[in-house]
Amino acid sequence: MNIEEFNTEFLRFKDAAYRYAVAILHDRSAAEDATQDLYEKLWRRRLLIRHARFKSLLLVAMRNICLDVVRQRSRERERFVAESHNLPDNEDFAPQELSTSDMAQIARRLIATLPEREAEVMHLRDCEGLEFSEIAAITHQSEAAVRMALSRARQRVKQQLLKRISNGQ
Amino acid sequence: MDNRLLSELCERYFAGTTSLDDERVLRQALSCLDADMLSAEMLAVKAMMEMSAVSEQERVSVRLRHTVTPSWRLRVAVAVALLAIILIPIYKLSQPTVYGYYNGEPITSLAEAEARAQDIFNNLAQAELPQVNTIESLFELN
Repeated sequence: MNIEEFNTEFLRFKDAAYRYAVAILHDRSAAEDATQDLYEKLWRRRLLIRHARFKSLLLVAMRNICLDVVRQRSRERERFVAESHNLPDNEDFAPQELSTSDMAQIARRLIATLPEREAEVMHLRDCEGLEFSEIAAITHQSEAAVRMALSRARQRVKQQLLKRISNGQ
Repeated sequence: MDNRLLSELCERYFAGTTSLDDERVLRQALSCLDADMLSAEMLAVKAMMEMSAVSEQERVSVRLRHTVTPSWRLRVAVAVALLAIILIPIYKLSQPTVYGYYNGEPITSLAEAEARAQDIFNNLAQAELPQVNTIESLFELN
């Protein structure tokens, strides 16, 4: 890819890579650094990159960068979930009090409380809309394992949402 | 879409067996219904399906490069190559010309080389060579 093509393609998918980094790192500033880092690393190899599957390549590379960051430091997941949106974890609600997008925000935050693999798979499927084959390639799992993790993740988030809905009524 | 089909799709959604097309259909069906017409489970599905819309609001800015800056390794390699191109001819030109060797020692003076060559020719001229006057005498020698 030449410079212009590379920058155009990267700008198309940088937000998806950033959101993926946030899902793994649970830290927005670290995710911003990881996104810039990703750009620099791919820039050096841009002549070898092809247009096809650029998004998958981006997400795989971002995952590797984030896993390196995670290995170097300890994550504070609970602090991120509680602080960033000023919503206490134990707040219950009646469904008619909140809009769907408010409930979606809550569901999004609940993903951060899931086990790593499940959170990753659910983010890639429900937030980024990737196919099972793509998720399997990015996370180095089989498609069956991806479906299983997604099912467990969705069930957990559903249980949490239902608990809050029923407590609020 | 009837309730039975909707419930079935929701069950498959939680089982992780829906395709992206199924999820698109489910999202569309749920968006047409008010919250009070949906069961708690369907509400949960609707909320989870809206997550992608919520996610899309998250953006990041990146500093882009528009020109290629050679890495320091490349610059060092180019500098070494240029130095070699300049210095090697200078070195070669600074070395004296060798016209030949005498007893293993190089002869770098043109006058000495001429003198040595003349000596060799003189020695050859003085060497005893057989007298050959006719072609027959050449065959007699053999």
